[in-house]
Amino acid sequence: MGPEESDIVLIFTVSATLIVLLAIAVVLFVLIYQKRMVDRDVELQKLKNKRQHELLRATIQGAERERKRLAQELHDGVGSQFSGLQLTLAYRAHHPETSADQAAFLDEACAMIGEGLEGIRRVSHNLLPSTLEEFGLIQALQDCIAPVQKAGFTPALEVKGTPFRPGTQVELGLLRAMQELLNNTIKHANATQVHICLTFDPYSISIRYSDNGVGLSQKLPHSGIGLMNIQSRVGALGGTVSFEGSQGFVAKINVPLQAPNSSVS
Amino acid sequence: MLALAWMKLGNTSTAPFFHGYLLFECLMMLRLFGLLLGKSIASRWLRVAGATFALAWFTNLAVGDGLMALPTWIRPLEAILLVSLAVRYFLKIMSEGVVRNPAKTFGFWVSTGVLIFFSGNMLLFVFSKTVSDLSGRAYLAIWEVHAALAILLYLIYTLAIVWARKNPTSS
Repeated sequence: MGPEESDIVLIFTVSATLIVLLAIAVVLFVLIYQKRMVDRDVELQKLKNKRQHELLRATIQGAERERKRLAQELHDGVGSQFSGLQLTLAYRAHHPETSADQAAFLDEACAMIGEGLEGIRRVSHNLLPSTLEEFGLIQALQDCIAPVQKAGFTPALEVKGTPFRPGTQVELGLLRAMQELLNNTIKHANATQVHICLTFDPYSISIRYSDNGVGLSQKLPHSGIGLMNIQSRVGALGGTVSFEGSQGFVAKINVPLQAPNSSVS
Repeated sequence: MLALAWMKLGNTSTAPFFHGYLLFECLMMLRLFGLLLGKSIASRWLRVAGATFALAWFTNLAVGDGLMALPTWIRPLEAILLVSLAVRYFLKIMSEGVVRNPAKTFGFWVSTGVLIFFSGNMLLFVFSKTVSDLSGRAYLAIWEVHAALAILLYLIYTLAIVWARKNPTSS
């Protein structure tokens, strides 16, 4: 091979090497660029999720505030006025000038007002479960399942772990979820038994709700919105929900806690 | 086998096989890139490119290099066409942002192989006449570079096939 041919071979080899290196650089650029784009997308999605989470939480908090205001308005306003009216009618019924017919009529009216007052108290209590604030989730759940017992169900509440107060928002969210699930069971499940298992863990609170009703597939058309509400509420608390419904209905809720908790309720 | 039989018939060049291979390779790769690029490139343009290449190939045989000589300008034309499509594929995945991890897709590795092989060999394709006039050792040295790039290309194609089998829906 002469010097001229050597130069040609060298030029070809070096040029080919340089071009190949350039092509590899292009390929690496594509990979790095794509990775950065993916990372940016993931970051954007995280921000978007966080914002949605905050919005949902604010919406739920707003709704709870409004419920509280409405409950107080019902209890202290309309409830007090009805109580006053009931007292006035009772006084009038037992007045010496009132005839027997009038007294019977007024007593009946008093009884009807009493029923109305009871209804107002019930609605007010549902809107603002004072038991939750004062005595915590376990007592509030017991209050919640008591009426179900009257309706012919056999509810059971089981508590595992050492109970503690995880904060009003978490307690309220879990209570509302349980109210929704109980409501679904009563209305659509044709169930006779309900079992709620509340587990306290230092890092999370979980609830397993089950009934022996028709299951998820037949329940869904009626209770789909309710289940979505539960998902939203639990999602706003940063928790997870899963529903199973092949034999009866099972809902599993898990809410992680910001910091490990060990305070006894 | 065909080439051996061809040589036994008294022919001194296997160039006709190479011409046939060029046309087949280019049209197949155009079809493959048509599938990889999907709607991001009008299939009409790919058909026009294929028809133009086939016409150029035929013209080269009829009035250019001829059947028995190695092609001088058809191979660079094919290289330019395929490198452009490989670059177009990279631009597509960068602009769409659909492919989360390109390194795990068939299309990425096919395009990588095409880009490295055809751009690395571009000088050789363009100056193939000059190279064929060199002495034995120099000629062999340049073809060794070509052989190394060919091995690299088929290794990269193997990777592409591995990903195509692992993830058949990825482009």
